[in-house]
Amino acid sequence: MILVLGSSADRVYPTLLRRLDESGHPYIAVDEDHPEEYGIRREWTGNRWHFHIEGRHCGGGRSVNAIFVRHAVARTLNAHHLERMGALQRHLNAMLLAVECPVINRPSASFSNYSKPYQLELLSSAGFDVPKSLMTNMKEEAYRFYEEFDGQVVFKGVSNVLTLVQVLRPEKMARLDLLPHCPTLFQEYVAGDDYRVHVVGDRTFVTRLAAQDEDYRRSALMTDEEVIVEAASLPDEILSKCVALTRSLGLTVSGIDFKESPRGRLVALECNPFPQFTFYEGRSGQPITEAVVEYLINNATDETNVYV
Amino acid sequence: MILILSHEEDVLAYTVYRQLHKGGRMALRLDEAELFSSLPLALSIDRESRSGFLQVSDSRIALSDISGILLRPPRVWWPSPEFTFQDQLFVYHETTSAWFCLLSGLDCPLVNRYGLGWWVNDLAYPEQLRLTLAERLGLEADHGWPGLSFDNSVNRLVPTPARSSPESLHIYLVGGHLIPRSPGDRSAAAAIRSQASALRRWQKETGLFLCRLDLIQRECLQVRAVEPFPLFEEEETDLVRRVAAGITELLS
Repeated sequence: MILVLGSSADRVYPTLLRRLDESGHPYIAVDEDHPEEYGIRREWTGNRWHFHIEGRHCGGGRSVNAIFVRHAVARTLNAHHLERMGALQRHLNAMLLAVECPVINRPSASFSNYSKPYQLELLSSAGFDVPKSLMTNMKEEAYRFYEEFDGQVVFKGVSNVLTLVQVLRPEKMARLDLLPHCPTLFQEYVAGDDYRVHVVGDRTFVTRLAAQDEDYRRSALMTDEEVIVEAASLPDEILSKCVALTRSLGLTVSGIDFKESPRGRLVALECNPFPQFTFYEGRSGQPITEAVVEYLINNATDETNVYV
Repeated sequence: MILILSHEEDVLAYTVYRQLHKGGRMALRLDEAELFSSLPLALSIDRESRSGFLQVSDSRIALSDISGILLRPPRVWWPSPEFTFQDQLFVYHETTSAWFCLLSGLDCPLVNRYGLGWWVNDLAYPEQLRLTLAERLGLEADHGWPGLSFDNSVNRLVPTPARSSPESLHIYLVGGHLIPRSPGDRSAAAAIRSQASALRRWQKETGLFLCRLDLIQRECLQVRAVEPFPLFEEEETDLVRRVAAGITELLS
């Protein structure tokens, strides 16, 4: 039995469940958007913990042999609902620390994208080229960086809170006055195509994205401009590093972002531990969800300590 | 330059500051509110290097000139109410994320070099510490399911003081020193001390050079909890001095 922990309001969750359905392999989903319907019981027997998830379609007795996690996010400010969802996820995360079957991905290994500059250092240590970057809350330092790169600078948020990349154009310089309130990440602007590399175990899927906007997500999701999304390739050496980095972070699946300049300079930007791979496969036709399902089925263990 | 980043009323931070000062070491105390809300910072990163500085009053402190840090912000800071709630959330995450990155990349002693679980307030983080410590030391983890009731609405990690009870044992781990909280905790400290090399490996993995081990003696010694941010306000002065001396040694 494969267990999927996620949210029915998310885009990955229904696609993954559909693919599991097609595979014919038994699975069950815990919809974290209905936290009041679930409970987790823990027992110490045979010198180890056993976890029983009960409620909704879960009777707490069927063995779980692999788990996919993509936690629900807050989509409401209803405090009561958020409290219950937080409590359920807290139980699940504590359970995931001790489960013995494969987990894509363990939440405890998935925090590195909390800080983009921290990830840049990880990417650099893994052997990737990275853009020169400055994290600061000082206007004069941001301006010095802007001058150093002849005005070819982008800025974005430091944390994993969603922000879209923007070019620091002269008309935006007045916003530097706000910097003392909040550190910001500035980077040399590497203009060119974007690449997303999805890693699934040892497999990689390279997707090229070309858009007019400096952030293709703005084109795709907000301004409805054309974005070219297609299967592509990158050197094997890069892909090997992607797999090695993913593994070193304790992850099985990741989405690593790159930018390639017209001169062929490839810089790594960040590594997403919970990538929304359905966005890419929906446009490029690459079978990423299928690869995730195959990984879960092929790596499912006989031994388990989780039951649904 | 040694930095002490804490709440201004933190008794341990104050004692460490006094001991460093007495020993002729230059230390600078910064309150959490000052640190997160107004301290100018810059960190440059490229493929080969990282560099940067903090601006304290009129002085620039290069990151390379920082020789040690005691990091004890209780994280009660919250952005100004002049922002909307959504912006407050954003500023909070951006600021703490920036400080995590800046501090985690420093080469100097950092007490504690907290893992991401602490920074993101992952409520499973203490459980992770407890399970890994028990595993590394070959001890059992207490069979409780601490802090995981559906009625528990606490949504962030909260520092705790030691709570006395007839069966509980408490030991402070400070660098390589194990300091029993009371005479009754000495035998447990001795048992843990016999696993010194495993303990050192666990400290290196977790970045915890100061923590409190909460144990319980049943048929065997069990790990009830690991407190990565122990509070000392209710502790005996002599105990605080001994823990502070261990930290001073680490930072010197």
